Amino acid sequence: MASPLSQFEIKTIVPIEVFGYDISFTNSSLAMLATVLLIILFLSIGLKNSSIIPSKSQTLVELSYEFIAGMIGDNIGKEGMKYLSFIFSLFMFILLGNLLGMLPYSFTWTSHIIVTFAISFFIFILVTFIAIFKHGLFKFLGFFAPSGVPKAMLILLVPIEVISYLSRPVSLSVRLFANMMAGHTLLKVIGGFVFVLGANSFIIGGALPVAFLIALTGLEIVIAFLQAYVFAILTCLYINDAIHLH
Amino acid sequence: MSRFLLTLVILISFRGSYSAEGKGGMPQLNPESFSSQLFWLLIFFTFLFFIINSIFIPKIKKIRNRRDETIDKLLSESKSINQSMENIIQKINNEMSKEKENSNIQINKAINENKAILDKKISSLDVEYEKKREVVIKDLTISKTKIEKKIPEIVIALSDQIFEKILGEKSKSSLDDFEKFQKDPK
Repeated sequence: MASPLSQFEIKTIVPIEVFGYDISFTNSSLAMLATVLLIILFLSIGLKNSSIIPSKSQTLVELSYEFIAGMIGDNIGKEGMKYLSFIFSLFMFILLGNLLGMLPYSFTWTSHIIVTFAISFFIFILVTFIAIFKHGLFKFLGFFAPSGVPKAMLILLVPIEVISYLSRPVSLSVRLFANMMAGHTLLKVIGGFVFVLGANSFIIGGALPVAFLIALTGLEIVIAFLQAYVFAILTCLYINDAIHLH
Repeated sequence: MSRFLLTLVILISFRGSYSAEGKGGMPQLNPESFSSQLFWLLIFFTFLFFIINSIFIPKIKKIRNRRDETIDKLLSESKSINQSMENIIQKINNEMSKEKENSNIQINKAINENKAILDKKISSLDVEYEKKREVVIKDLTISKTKIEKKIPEIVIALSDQIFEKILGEKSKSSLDDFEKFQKDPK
């Protein structure tokens, strides 16, 4: 039987090499392409004959827009609206990536640490630049020294603050990657149980893990949404921190 | 937390089989695929961001603005209609109260006029009644005096008859005798 981790293997579809770098089109790239196409399809169907009185698909699109706009409004305020496109694309990209991964035989590109880390590192850089451009380098560095704290405590607090700031991209990326990978691995393991137990107990024994598998699949779909939501809302919070240095 | 522990256990338990196959653990940690994944992530996400930023978000914003504008327009329109309706109601109420006052005045006037006519008629009837009463009373007194004048004659005739029947002789009394009798009954 295949390993539960074999589902995460990158398989080259079209080998491409530029300047010695391997940029082959792989199953991960295919899943990403499918994600992008699905998002574009979803949005263009919803906005095809957009009218003041929305159709069902337009309502869905507006609902997702409102969801993100509400999230930004709640967490950042009006200043955050210029990041709406970015957070909207980010949320849709991760959500559809997660959900697409739930289809059998598909590939979950969000279960790869390098992808999630790249996204969160980009957010980290973006947030840092926003903070520096908005408040200047000196004020930005003051972010690591909370006001109203005794000077003696700063020796302890500044390193903690710096570490917590630097660990943001790591925690953000690992959260998404680990959740996705754990969920899919678990599904695969339980799926293996179905086969093994069913084979050893004249099929009847497979019923319990199948029920478990169905419940877990539901849970995974919820997690797929939840992780995209968490990713988006943390991005909002980081941007909020950068805009309103506390 | 238990999810992660479970994953960890699974990872450790399958590590042996992997190393036996000579593949070396999690495919996520294999740096060979990093460059290609990063490249395609950059391409696809940038493409998605630009297409959403330049096409879809403006479209959604436009339609929502248009909706808000329409709602505002309809709201203000309905407000003005409401206002004019209230004005009309006010006007109707004013006219109604005016008409009510007018009709009250008319009714009072009519009542007063009728009263005056009635009073006039009553007084004229009273006068007529008085007149008729006087005539009747006059007639009555005339008849009374007439009767009173006749009474002595009748009385005399009757007494004469009674006298004749009792005594069997004729008597002829005159009115003068009666008057005498009236003055001195002895």
